[in-house]
Amino acid sequence: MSPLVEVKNLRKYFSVIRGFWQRGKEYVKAVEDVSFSIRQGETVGLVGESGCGKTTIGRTILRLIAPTAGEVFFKKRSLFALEDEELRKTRKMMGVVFQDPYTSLNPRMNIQSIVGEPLRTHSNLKGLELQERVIGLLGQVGLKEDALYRYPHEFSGGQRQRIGIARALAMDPEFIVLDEPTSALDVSVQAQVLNLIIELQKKLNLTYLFISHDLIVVNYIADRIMVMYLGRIVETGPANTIFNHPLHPYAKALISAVPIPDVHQQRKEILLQGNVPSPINVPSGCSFHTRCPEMKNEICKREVPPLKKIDEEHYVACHLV
Amino acid sequence: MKRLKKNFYRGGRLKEYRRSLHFFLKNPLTILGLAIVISLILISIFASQIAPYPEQGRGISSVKDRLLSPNYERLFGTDNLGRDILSRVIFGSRVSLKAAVVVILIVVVIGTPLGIIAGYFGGKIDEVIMRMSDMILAFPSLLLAIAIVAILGPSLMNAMIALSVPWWPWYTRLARSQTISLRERQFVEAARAVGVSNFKIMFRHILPNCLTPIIVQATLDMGYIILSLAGLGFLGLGTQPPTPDWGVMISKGRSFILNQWWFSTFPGVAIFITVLGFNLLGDGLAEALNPKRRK
Repeated sequence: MSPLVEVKNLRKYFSVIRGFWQRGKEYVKAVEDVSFSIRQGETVGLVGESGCGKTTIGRTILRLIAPTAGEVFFKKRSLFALEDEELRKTRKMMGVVFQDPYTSLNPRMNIQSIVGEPLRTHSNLKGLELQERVIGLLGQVGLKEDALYRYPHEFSGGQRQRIGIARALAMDPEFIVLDEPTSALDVSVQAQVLNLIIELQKKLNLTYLFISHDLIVVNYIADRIMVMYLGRIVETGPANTIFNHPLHPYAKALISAVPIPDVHQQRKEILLQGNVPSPINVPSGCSFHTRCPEMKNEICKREVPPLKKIDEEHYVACHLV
Repeated sequence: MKRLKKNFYRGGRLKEYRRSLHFFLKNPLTILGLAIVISLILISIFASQIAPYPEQGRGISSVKDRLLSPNYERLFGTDNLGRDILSRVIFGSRVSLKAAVVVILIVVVIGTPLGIIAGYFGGKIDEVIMRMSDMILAFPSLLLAIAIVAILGPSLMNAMIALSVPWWPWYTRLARSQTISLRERQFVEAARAVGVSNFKIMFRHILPNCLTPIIVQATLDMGYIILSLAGLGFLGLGTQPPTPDWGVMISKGRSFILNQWWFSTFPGVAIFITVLGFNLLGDGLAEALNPKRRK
């Protein structure tokens, strides 16, 4: 099947202003040479710690920010070449759910206005028709129509996230970027929202890019997982493979940190030394070599490891594998 | 029959207002400010009914009664043309309030959108707008206003224009700072992801969210603008006689201050109470609308 979204050699550098005289001489390398594709109907999980560039990738795919280099194809068309009418049409096919349900809804707009905004922007629905559509959308995410004229502050975090999902669904999109949609929620509510997301995918045949730092959540929802470290994808493969047999030392360390709900089972936890290096001064060679517990060769310090094919769909960027 | 389900589900907004109202009414000083402002508005509306000598209030002189000291018939005394000062003060409130409201409207309508545009787009547009406002803010506002009136010629209309010019940058700064913090909020990002136009984002998402501090600032500024208008009037650059104006009255009474104290004093007290009223109201509003300032 052909990919719905294809990202090619994406780079995004943010310039850093250091003092008054030397503007923009340094860059935060948020995303460094990232390529991947997402097929129709699948859920791709993007994991990594804070600041590794997950959200930047999501925002670039939505064309909220322009990349420094590289391209994003949506349905085989380059997203950054689109203009006006074409861009509007493409925007209709993409949705986004944000991390923080407290700032992602305008506190001065009622729920009907919030969920109806994409409809007002892209369609001619008005008055009663618009309202019925909004009620339908709210129903899909498990909210009742008495929410219509209420304001975001009257809802709990989970309910707000449902409202955010309803807004993302408004234009019947095919592809939704879920940027840590559950990380601001309680665990019990997380499960409800996750199940809602899965249920909607089955019902509406959606494709997801699921960004998260929570491996359990990603393993639960994703078909494939991509592990990021300092702006690069270090390992990518089917969720089961990554979760049970990670190959990259960083992925191993991440997965060893996932708690197992079984007191009798022992597992060796890999503790990484030191902190994540600054994305302004990325280490030479493999960016993980400063913390890698398995590093032996000099090559790790010199050369950036390419993504090596291990198996069908399983790729690892490590010199040691 | 199907109808828009508007009236079924209300209350959210109301609840929030009610809470703000509670904090607003809890503070006795705010109530005092509100009372002063409301009575001021009523006085200026019903000036012709309240003033004991309405025609004198408007400017007709009656020289035989000149410079009477306050008595039961003329509570505030009379001025050098024999006009009842109480009536003049009452009619003066009309001029002051009207002019201040017009200035505030001009300033808010010009300043706020510029600030939102500067904050939202950033970059060069921001630089141009903000350097322009910095240029104006570099002058003392009253001095700039005096210079402008000197160029345009003294009249109430020109005084209002002259006060608007140095005043709008404050609203631009305020709106800009609000916009910059709002621009990064996710609901703005969400609207952009949907493809909502920049204009609509600014109008629907940013403007309503930065209105609160602007309303507070406008209330506080009402007092300052009335004060500045009186200042211009005092210098002979604002309202022209015989139209009643507090500043002009103080200035005219200046030469009589040692023997006929009431001439300048009562318009001065009127300015004092008015400015106090708007300041108390503005502070109360700021406290009620901004949860962080609630005690």
